[in-house]
Amino acid sequence: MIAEGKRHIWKDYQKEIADNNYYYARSCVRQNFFPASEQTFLRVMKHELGKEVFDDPLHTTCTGIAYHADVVNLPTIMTVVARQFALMTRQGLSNFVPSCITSFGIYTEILETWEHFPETLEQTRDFLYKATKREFKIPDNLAHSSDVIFKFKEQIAARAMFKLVNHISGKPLRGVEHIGCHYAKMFPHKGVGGAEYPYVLAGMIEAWGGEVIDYPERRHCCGFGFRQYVVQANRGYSLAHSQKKFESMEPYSPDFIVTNCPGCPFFLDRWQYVISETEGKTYGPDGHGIPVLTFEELTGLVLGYDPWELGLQAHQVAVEPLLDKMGITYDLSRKFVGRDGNKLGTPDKPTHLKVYGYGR
Amino acid sequence: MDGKHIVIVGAGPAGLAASSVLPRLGYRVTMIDRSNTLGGHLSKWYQLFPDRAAATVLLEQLTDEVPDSVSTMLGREVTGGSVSSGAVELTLDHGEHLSANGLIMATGFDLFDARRKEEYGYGIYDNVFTQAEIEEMFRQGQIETRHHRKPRSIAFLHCVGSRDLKAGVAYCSKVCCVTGVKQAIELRELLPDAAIYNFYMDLRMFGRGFEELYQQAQERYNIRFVRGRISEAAESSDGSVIIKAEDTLTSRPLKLTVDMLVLLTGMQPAAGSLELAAKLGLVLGDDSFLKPYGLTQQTFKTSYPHVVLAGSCTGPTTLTEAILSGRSAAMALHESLFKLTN
Repeated sequence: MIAEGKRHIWKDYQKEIADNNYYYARSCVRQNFFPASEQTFLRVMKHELGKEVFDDPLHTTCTGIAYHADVVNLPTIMTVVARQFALMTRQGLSNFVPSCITSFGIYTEILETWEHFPETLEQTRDFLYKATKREFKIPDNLAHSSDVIFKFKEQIAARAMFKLVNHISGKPLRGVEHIGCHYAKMFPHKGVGGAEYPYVLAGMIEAWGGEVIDYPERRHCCGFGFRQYVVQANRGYSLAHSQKKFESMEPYSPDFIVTNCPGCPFFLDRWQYVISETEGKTYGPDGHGIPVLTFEELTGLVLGYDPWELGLQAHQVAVEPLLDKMGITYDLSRKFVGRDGNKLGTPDKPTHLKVYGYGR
Repeated sequence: MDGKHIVIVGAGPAGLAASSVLPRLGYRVTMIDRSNTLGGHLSKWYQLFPDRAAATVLLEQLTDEVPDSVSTMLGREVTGGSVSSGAVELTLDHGEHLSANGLIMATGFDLFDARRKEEYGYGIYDNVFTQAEIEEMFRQGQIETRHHRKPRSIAFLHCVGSRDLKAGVAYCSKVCCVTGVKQAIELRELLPDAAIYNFYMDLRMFGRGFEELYQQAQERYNIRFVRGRISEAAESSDGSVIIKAEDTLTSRPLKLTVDMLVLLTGMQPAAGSLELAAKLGLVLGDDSFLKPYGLTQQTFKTSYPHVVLAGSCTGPTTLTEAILSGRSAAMALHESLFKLTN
């Protein structure tokens, strides 16, 4: 692998990312999958970096999943997106930051459509006004929340409590970066580093001391791919996709996987459990899986946030081996204790996958 | 022609062919090339299609035909210029000026930059090559992977930077099909046990002997042809290349690990050609190659009677066509200058 070759390509895919004053659009599913990630983004932005981020309770789903499942048509989703932009406009903001990769893809696709087919923009303005009496401005800047963290990766590195380095051996931890398909595969120039060799997460890993693994099925979908999972009969495809990736990355002995999409960490985490239960196969050493993190969770660990405040107990694959390598101390007795002090309950212990702090 | 001065920019096959004609018609000829060697891309080739003739022999023939009176300036670049009625003024990189009565643009082509097809990983994956690098290996007499191993499997991919609208290239580069077939046969001779594949969308074997070479490749040399373009390449932990494609004849996806992937890159206008064309006010076609007056007749003419075009600066050409074009362009310029002065 010739590292310089990738850097040559990355030079062609630089994108403008706003410096401050963001309108944050949350994902409709992420808070159920990995509940602390979005809150961690806000914490990092506001308290670590001192940035203004408006977290609006009024915005809705972008309807992206329904759009990709052919339930919502294009004029409808354009109108829903226009409403989000109207809410941003109402706050006097113009830097739109979605949490979800599918949403980022939707917003990108619609902005491109409006640019190339201006009549669809006028039609959308008309629909939105008739439906809600709202008006909107097109954002000056659209960046995914992982783009924003990428922008400030060096500042985060400067404040880091822990590095992506094995604290005993001093060697860089080896990370798989998995990019959501809708981040740049449709519009390569809208993603940091482009579509083939995205740099958005790789840049974070490098900046925080880790080493990026490039493995043969790196580009492959995690297996969510709406028609693979949302259509129940196709769920075997979803599992097969994830398995293909695990088999491909296993020889490289990754210490962790980091992702920037709602579905990817969910499926890459949960399917490891399913494969272990059905096949008895685990992809980490000694019966462990490969820990899967959202980029906000990884950022939080680097900044020294408590693993249980980051919601890492909601993961199926144990993250403790990664914490141990990074030298992060944690209290297993508090793993399943909620922030209000009440017990969350403990999940059943898997048959093969090694876990920590579980009950039966 | 009374010692009139003609400048030929480009010392590839077309430029060499033109420079062999004009002195015999009484012209004083200066040939300039930014490279330090004569022959352009031909000087980097090993064997030629379809008859496997040695490239060095053809280059020797072409250079031998150039009279000693031709002033050859190698390693020099034209940095400025203008065309006026009956005269061409050129400035070279050391500040030198050349005045001429006529100009032949024989500025050739560049190979498509394979890094632009990012999905194939050229310049990133160790064992992804272009046909030019394979030709150099033939010249050195040694085919090996970047890790100095003898390859057990090699895949060629056709049309890299040709007939690819996403890469901004609509045209066919003409010679890559037969080059892929020729190189596959040469590899078979060196590597009798290797698996050798050609991935193509269609094979355009238009020239004399091309189709026969293709037939031989299948029947005699056991080259496997797969109709389908490779969608992506990736590197495995041992440095081999994993490719994904669709075999469109069987409608099945295909995944294959090979020791070497060879990208058959197309032709694109030479950067130097575009720079000089802009300085001289020469017109480009939609494909960015220099646009001649006509595509059937007057294929050498420009809007200036004393400036003509030769070889692949007007679009992809075979060697045969480039040599013919160089000679014909020289004659076209002679006719034009004759008319201007009589």
